[in-house]
Amino acid sequence: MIPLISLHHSSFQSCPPQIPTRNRLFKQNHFPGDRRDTIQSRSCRRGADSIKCYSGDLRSEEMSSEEDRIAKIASTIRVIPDFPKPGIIFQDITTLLLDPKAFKDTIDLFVERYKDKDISVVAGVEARGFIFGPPVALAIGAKFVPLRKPNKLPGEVIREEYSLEYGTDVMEMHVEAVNAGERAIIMDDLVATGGTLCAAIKLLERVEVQVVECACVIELPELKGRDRLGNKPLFVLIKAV
Amino acid sequence: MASEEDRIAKIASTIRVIPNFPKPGIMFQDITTLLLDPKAFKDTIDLFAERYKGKDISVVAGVEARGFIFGPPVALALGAKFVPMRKPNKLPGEVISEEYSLEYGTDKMEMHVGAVQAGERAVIMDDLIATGGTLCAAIKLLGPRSAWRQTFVCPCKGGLIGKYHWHASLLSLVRFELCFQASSRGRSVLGVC
Repeated sequence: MIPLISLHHSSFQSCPPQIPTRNRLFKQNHFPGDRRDTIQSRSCRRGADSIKCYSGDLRSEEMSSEEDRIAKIASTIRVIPDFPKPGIIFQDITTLLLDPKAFKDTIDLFVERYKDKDISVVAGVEARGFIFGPPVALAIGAKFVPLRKPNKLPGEVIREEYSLEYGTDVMEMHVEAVNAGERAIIMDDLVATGGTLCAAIKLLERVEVQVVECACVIELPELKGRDRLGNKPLFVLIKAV
Repeated sequence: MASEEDRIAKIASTIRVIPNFPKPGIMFQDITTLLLDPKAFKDTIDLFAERYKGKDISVVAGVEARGFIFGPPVALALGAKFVPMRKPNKLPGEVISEEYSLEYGTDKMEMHVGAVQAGERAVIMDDLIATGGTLCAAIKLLGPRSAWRQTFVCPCKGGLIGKYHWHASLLSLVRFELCFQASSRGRSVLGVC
């Protein structure tokens, strides 16, 4: 099964390597604890780059349908250079939200992964995590727990401080929102350095919630957020390079 | 399916009221406890989806941040686009912006240019309406003379709101008695709209 990769890879080679130009598409099938799927890892060499491609042990019709949906989702995401500041390539998911089919497929892909996994909590990081988390929570019958900037939540909260590129920020959660022993996923639109997700994991683990996985639409692998999450699994639909 | 009244009663019972937040005298309507009840949350979305199905709504606009919780599930149920209306400098593309009054000072709301087309029919969603200042700004962004027809909010409502006299109607699922005086400033915001 040939995984979907960027058709513009050759043009990427001529661009300065530090500026990403296209979304490349990867699909992860393996869910932690799933014995049914197997992972085969292949290295596909294109010029100087090595692209890791993962394929699960699924029927080819299922896989092409999932890949078709991911390809379509990726094509709706708008890339905006130099936002919020020069040198940053911003992955804009608002254009995905303008395509009802792509938005529905995005939610469906997460729901297919997490339903019947005994997830009772979907935590979403303010603000774009509020867009993707609630539809997934509704579909799997879980609570939605907003993780917010300081002083927004009116009840008793716990707080976690985390680093930004310059300075720090604080994330809060209502203490009564979750119970010890619940199984949770954390959702956001994108993972970059992983700082935000790490703070979210800490918040939930402090009240003895089991964070099963973090789930995002997009990963920026060059910023190594996955490493920062350590042994906490991360699932994404799209890796943007 | 349970009756509409039964579902609304249940939804209302899940909303937590927190006194003196964000400041003394305010009774804060906390919808986060609604979100902890999957059945109540689903019923909330269903009630809006039932209302707007078959009404040719192609846009659901949601006001940051709690409008992002209710708007997208309704948009998905209707097969409509979701358009976020955001605080300044969050949207990366070209935006139009609308300034609106707060109790002290002003704030600004932005929307991406090109997210909506002239002639589309839109619903604007937020968790709560109080003075209506935020919703007025959202309506202006979409364009009072474009083909938007209806403005709806969920699920809480403050008693401050009088009638809208222009092309907008208001749906709220749950009405609460306000525990503070209606301010004349609140009404003047509506007047400007």
